[in-house]
Amino acid sequence: MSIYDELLARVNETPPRLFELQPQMPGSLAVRRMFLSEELFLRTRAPWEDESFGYLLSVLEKFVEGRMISLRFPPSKNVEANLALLDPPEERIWEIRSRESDPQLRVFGGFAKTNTFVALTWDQRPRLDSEEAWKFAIKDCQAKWRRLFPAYPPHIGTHPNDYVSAKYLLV
Amino acid sequence: MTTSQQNTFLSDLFTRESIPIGKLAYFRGRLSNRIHELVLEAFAHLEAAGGITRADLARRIGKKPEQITRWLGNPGNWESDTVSDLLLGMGFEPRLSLIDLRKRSFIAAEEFAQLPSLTSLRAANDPQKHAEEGLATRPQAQNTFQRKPELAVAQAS
Repeated sequence: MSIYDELLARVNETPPRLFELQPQMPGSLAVRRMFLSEELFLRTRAPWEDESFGYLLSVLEKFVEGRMISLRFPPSKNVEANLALLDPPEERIWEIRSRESDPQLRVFGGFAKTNTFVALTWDQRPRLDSEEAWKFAIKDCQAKWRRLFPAYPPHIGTHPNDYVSAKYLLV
Repeated sequence: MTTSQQNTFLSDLFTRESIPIGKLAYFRGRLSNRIHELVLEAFAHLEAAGGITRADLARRIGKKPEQITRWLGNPGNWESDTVSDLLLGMGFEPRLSLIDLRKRSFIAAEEFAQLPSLTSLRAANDPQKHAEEGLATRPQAQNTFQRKPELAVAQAS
């Protein structure tokens, strides 16, 4: 059974533990794939009490709709990129940044394979105000990954194309 | 997602007295994404062709290269001046158009002024001027929803 089979199994089990994100706008198509934990999926469903998760959904859909994204890949330390491989890269955890809301949000997850992202956890950027907080965010995400995919660590590659095959700009 | 679920997502834009803050945020984010994509695609295309570097673009619009890198990273703090400068620095000017969310039909900017409701309004306000300009009734819009964003890039001559 491949990790892709495991992904679909998580989506199809009762109750599901993963939910595939489909663009909300009529006519929009999913070009890349993203799977969300139940908590993230519920957070990104309207109605929203404030702006934060409305902005976040637009950021996640930017990835899914195959739009051009800015990508941070080692050795870059760019803090502005839409999608960033966190340090240390051997941990295989990525961060999606939603910067337009107040407070800003961060989503953490890993790639199951090229163009297929599994988003599992999130936090408000102001709470990630120490090295320990970031380490915890990475470990928490990894723990949730292992519960979902005991036999498969997140995908790892040596080049950005191993993660996002097209439509990105390295920053 | 089913069509009916997508329709539901838009429905409160037109059925409620005020648009919920979360929906406002979502659409602000969408617009920001599209503008960001426009700039990134233009830059990536030129950079790959060897036509520009971040330092070049910075020089052309009077900014530091690190500012260009920050802007390319995220459009969160972009103003319209930023968009104009970045695109112009690469030799582009954006072309704008609209998507009618009620009808989900694409309307080019030059067609918008010719919408029947606006044409009729002009004629009612100034029938003589309207006749002189020879404005024709606009054909019915095609009800085909365009997926591509409404911003397109026209290379500045």
